[in-house]
Amino acid sequence: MSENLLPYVFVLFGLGLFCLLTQRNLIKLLVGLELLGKATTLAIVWSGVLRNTPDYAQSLALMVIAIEVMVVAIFLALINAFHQKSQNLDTDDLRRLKG
Amino acid sequence: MTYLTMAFLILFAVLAILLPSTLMSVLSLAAVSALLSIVFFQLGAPVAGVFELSVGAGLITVLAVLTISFIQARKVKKQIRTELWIVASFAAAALFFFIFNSLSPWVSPSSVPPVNWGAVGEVLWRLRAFDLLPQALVILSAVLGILVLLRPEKVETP
Repeated sequence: MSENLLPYVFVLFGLGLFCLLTQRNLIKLLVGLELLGKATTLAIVWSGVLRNTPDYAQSLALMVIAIEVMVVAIFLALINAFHQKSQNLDTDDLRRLKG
Repeated sequence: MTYLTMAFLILFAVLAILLPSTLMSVLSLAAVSALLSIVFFQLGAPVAGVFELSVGAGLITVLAVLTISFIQARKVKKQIRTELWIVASFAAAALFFFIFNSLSPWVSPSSVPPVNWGAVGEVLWRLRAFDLLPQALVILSAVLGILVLLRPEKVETP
């Protein structure tokens, strides 16, 4: 496989990081978290292709995706619970939960 | 071909971040997942591709859209006609078909690496049996956490 996907992995990871650092909406933060996970999954699969161990890489990718779903489900449940308390999705209101 | 798919993937990732509507943002993320699964197929990892397509583009999108519909009130002040959405969807699908079909001469069946479907299961259940159980416990504890988070609040009666 001659394609070099490393720049794309870094761009995707950077986009996820940018989203996490700049956005204040909780759903947008979830999108950023997902982009980080997708960049990681792509890096795992691509490294398996490079090292000619695609089966092992795919088994790792499956586990990463499964854990990713659980993270998303917990995040959405937290969003739901937070919205019931504050009626919005702004992370600035989360500061009231400190202490 | 992989580069083109990755370019579309990056485009939809940027859209997912920049679009003001959270629903459109989540749908763009679903497009990112679908394109990522295409990349996995092109890299010779179809098991990961199928999983990403069904879970990433399917389950996560459904969960996110359901949550958004639960927590956000529907706005009816600016409603776009349904016919326009149908025409736009067909136009987008035709554009994607044209782009990928025009690039198909560069992709031959011999360029796709052979895949051993059973080998992934072999690695997962034999080689990685040690960490599979703890990860299953992590998922179980996450399920319990979600149940705790979503339980209805007790109403105290005076």
